[in-house]
Amino acid sequence: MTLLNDFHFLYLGFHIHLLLLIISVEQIQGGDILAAVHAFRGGVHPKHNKNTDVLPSIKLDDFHEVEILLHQHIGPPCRSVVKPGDYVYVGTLVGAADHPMAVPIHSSVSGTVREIHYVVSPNGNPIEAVRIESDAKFRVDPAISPPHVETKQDFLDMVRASGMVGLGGAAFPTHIKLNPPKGKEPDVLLINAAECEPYITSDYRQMSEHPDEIVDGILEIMRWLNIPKAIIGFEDNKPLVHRIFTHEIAKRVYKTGAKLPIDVRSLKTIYPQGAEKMLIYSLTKRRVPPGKLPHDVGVLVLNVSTVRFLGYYMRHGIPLTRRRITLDGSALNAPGNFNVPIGARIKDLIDAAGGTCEEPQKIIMGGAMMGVALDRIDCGIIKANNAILVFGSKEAKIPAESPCIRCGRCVAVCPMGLMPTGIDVSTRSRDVEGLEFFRVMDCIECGCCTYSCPSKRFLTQSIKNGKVLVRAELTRRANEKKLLEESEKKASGKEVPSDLK
Amino acid sequence: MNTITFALSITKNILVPTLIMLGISSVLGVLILVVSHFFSITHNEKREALLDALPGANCGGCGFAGCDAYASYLLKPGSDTSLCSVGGLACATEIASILGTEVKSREPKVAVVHCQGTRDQTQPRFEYLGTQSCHAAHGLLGGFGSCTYGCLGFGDCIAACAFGAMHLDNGIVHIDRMECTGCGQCVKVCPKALITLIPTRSTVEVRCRNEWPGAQTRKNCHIGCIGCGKCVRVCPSSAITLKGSLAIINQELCIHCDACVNSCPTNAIAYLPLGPRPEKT
Repeated sequence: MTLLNDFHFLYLGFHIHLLLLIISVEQIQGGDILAAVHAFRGGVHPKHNKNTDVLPSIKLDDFHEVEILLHQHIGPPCRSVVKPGDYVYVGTLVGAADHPMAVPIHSSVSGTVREIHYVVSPNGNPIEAVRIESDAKFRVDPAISPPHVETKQDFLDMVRASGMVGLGGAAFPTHIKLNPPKGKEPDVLLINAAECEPYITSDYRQMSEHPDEIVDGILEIMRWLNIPKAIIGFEDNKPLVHRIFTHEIAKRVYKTGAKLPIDVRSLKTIYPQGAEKMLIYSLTKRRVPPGKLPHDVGVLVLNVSTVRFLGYYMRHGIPLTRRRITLDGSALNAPGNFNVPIGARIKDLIDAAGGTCEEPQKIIMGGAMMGVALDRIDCGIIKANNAILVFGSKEAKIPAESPCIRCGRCVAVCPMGLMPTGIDVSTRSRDVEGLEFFRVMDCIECGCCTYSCPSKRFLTQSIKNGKVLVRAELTRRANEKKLLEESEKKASGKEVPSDLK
Repeated sequence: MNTITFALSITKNILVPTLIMLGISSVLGVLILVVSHFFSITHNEKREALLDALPGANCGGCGFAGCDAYASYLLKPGSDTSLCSVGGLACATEIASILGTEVKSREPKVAVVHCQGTRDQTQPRFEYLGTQSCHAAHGLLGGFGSCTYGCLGFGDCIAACAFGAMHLDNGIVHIDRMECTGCGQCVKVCPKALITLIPTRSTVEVRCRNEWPGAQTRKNCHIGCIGCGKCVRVCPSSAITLKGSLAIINQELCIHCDACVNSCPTNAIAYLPLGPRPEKT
């Protein structure tokens, strides 16, 4: 009996020690480490394949010509403001539009405009592209000077003029994001440094190489938008990020003596930690309701590269003309991170990355989980393009679909708490009511279900098709409502026959 | 003694069960009466008649979920009686006679696919291995064909057609005009917006919807509209206009002279496969 009691005390002592350990680590980290333990529900663990994270990014300038697409953001396309034969500098405006959602596009090289032609856009429509022959001198437009900002409106105008879009992959115009509707001003700024997609390390290189500009950018946004607090969230497979930022913040605190309200927090490494809704939940425990945006819960989320570009632009005034891009995949000889002008052809980039060691079977623009396969390699990269993955035959293989075995793995991994298998069945039988029951419109298309499916079913594609069906049904219902209202309007003057009442 | 026993046994074995059965049945009968009184559905004779008059295809062409929903709508005052394209004039007349309103009818229409880019006229741009559906294929760079506006040939419209009026041949969808009722379900599902409804009396149509400049169209498809404008010049009733580099026929103004068909250098303007659908009476 006494022996047992001793064991009990031993256990109790062990637990107290563990608790003390957690609390002390938490104090060292400066944030709550428990946040790293409690992440969102679901998610998958794809192989990281962060092969290029230790390679410093290489600046590539040796391009004969660039092809700049005139539609690099969500919103209406720009029209060209240059003519063939014009001489352009780095930062000269080549595309502009008046629409409030449109973001101007600038030349990324100095040289002569050769041609304005049509190319296939990612949604299949023809889109204007400007072909500029580079003179390899990279002369910056003499009209460029660091911006002068005095009011919030100045700041927003400046952000728009810089050609800034969300550099994480969605290409949402940043000046729209920074200007939420009245009464929905954010009280916390979240910096998305999760980079949860496999292979991609361009954000990580950005953080390693330019932490000062990132902190600059964060402080500028907090100053002009009057946000009291910022949190940088990174996945714990990049432990150096914490040291980089705490060092940078400590430097500034030492210089100015004032404490910076920037928190650096590690998150559990799990895909899709970098998805907007998941990141918000992991860092602030706020849930964005379906169909709502982050500013509805008082949050502003920006990608770390976007913030870095803002800091850079405030210093130099050079618009968004270059970006970091990860080139990786089994078919490449020398994967790495490259700092390239926007519009550089993918073909040239692959050559710069040492060429291919086998015939590429699939080339993906973006990450392995959410990126889009390309049909040609002579197109130019766009602002939101964070990676080019060149896959050989082994990685590009698409397994054959087999019947659902009802294992429920897709349900377990869905970060939105949906039932992908139910949605799949409803889509295939064109059952719109079923699709609405399974809340198909809440899907964020992260691909976890397809990744985890042992039967290799194309669940994400099926869900995308399901969304199309639901949208068609919603239009039909709106039309039906209109018809009913019209008939009521017509009948309002007339007497209703008694037998129809 | 025997007689008494016999009478008793008859009472016990036959009369009592009969009485029990009678009792149960009368209780159940009363129950049925009560239930049928309190849970009865009021029959609207007009509604029944309308349902009989409607074709019962439940295609959704009228814009309602089915014939039943349309019949409910028709009962409302001020309703549009001409929405059923499947029944056509005959159905509209019958509905009008039931409701006691004047006969209204729409011009009968058929669907037409604005694409002739069969496998031998176009080339694939890349190999597509995803879900075999038009919407999925359209989502990836606008489809795998050389023309990003052309028919994808997975048959989303064929699945949507309730009348079996569509079939796939050589990579593109064809419409059987004798079967097509003009309900417009295929129009709604086509991700490329290639299918439109035109009056049954029309005989020619620009069977192309691509907006690429002419030179690129030449490379994409042998039979695409290059926007040369010849048809616009020869049309005596100025029914044809150019939208960018694509000719569009206004079927209301067309006088069926066929001058455009003869002038088209790429055969993008073509006769429609079959004559007008006879109006069902």
